Amino acid sequence: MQPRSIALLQKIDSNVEQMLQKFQDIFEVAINQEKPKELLAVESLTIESDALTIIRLCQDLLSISRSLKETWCLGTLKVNEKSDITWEKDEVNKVFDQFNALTDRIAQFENKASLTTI
Amino acid sequence: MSNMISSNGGFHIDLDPEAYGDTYKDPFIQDEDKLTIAELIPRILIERKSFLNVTEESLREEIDNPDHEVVPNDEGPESEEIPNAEQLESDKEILLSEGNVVDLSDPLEIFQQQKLDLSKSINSALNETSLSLDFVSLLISAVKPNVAKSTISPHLSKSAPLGSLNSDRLSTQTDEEDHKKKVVDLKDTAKVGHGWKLEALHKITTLFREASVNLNEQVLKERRYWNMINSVLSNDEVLFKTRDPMNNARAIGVKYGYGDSGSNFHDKGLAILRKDNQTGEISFNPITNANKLTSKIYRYIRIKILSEIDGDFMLTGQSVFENKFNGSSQPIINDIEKARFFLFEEDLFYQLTREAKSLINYNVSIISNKIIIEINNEIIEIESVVYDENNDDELNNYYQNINTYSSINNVKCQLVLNYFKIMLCCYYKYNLKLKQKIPTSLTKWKQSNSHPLILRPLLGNIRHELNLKNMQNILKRLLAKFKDSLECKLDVRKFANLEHRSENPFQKSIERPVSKFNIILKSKTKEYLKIDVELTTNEIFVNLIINLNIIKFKSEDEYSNNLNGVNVLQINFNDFHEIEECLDWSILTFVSG
Repeated sequence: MQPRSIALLQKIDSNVEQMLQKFQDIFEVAINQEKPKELLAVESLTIESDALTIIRLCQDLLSISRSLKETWCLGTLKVNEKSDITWEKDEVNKVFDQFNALTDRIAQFENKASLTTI
Repeated sequence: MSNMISSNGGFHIDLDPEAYGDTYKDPFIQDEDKLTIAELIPRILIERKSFLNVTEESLREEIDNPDHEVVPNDEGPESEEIPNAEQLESDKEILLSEGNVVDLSDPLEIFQQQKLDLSKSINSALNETSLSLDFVSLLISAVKPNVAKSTISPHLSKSAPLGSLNSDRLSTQTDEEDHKKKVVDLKDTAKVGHGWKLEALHKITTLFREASVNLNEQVLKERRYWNMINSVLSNDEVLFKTRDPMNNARAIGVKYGYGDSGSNFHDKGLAILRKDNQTGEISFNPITNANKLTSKIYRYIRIKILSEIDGDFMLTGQSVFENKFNGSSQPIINDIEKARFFLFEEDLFYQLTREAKSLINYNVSIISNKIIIEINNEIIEIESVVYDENNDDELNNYYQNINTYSSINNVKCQLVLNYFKIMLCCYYKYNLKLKQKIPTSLTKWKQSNSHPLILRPLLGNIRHELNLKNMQNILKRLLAKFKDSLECKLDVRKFANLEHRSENPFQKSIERPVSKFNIILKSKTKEYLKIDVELTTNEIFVNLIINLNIIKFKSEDEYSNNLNGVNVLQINFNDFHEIEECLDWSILTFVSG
């Protein structure tokens, strides 16, 4: 696997892990034992900050998917099987004849047009 | 007097009269025994304030008790002697003694004294401030170690570790009250804490909800965006990363032009697929090579043929605009296809005008957006017309097909247009092949000097057909004239050059046409005259070149074996009259001779 893919997978893993960790943290902190007022105040703010972190991590995951799509669409080379076709002699002849017929048709004048020598 | 700055920052003043030597007499050091009366009296006045209190007894008492000499005044009369004494031990004492020494009568002395005081005060103030700064630094070092570290003095930081000092607010209440309050506080705290937690949880619930809605929307947008990009990609378009010139944001561009397919047109056909931030849908916005937005005026090429009927030129044919740009269910792909179509038309017209410039001498003229070719009582007009999708009438020529004559050449116009397009593609292919070859000076020269063959082969082929007809007419006339005296056989090989077929299917329009007329004349004396007429043109396709070659054979055997032929004439012509006269004369000579 490419080092870039490994790094991406690791990032996804760590993001998910952090999200779960933060979610757990919220519940741990939510317990309201005989804690001093100061600690309670800090904890309630911690809850909010943890929540914001979770949201940010989600957005991170979305951006990872976006960059994956971008790499897929722009970074890959298309291999077109049709590109190497060699024309068959018959087909060339057919085009040749058709093209000559076309040239003849446009090179000749309609009978209605009066033909005069130059 | 010498002022020196001592190592501890204080001023240090001392006086050493011996250092000045005997010859130097300091005006400030006065020998009291040598004072004149005029000098002495004001001096006594300064020392004693007034002669009123000076009595013989008091003076005597003073002399007897020299310790009390300073009592009546701040300065004693002999105070000047003190600096002359031995060096004093400490700086402080020097300062003090100096203070005593100062002669208040001298303003310079006063100034010096005050300066000294000022610097002393400043020094002490500085000291106090740095001490208090140290204190504060040490105090906050427990809370903000980094701030404290930058302000604390090195001395204090050595002797007292950071964070070793702390502060707390002292409760003014008594223990009992305190205890009571604590109990109440604890209850309150529990309630308040509960509230805070609830509030926080409530807040994050709404946060999560909003975020989920937001993210959902974004995911939908992304899906729409990438679906569209993917559909563009599956249409075999070339995508590339670029920046939107409007807001410099990252964007995906599409290369819809023919730059990679052999076109050397200045417009490479680049466009931005701009994302609509509201819906995630992409829109097609053409840009120039310099990455600037452009708004293109779409133009297409229309071919008209005007024929001379009863002395007037009348429109007898016109090509129609065939493309409807709805081949795909995706509007974005239709947009790209449309832009590509019109880019091709633009390129084609550009190349046509380039070619037409070299054909001005051959009844081809360029008037603004029109190329006009006059040939054989017909006029072919190639026009670059602004595309207006709402104008159905013009696109479909409704008004034009009113009578039989006016539409007689419609098909031909369409064919001419197709022919042009095929020839441009042929040129692209040629260019592409050149590009794929290993670059040498020859291929480079070819690249920079190649130009499409579009208009010239068309004109050349039309002219060649006309020339063929003319030549045939001439030959028919001549053969008819001599048919009584000669046996003749006419063999016409149109486009003899095509007998050697190259790999290119468009050979007929790339090589100049060559047609051959072979005439065998047999006289009554069994002599043979072989006339070869080769009808061709030069590299601009429009000039007339006729190569005439006449060989005479004495007998049939010689003719059939191609032996002993006498070359009668080998000459080139550019004019039909000349060749007619020449042939007439040659045949006449042959008949009579």
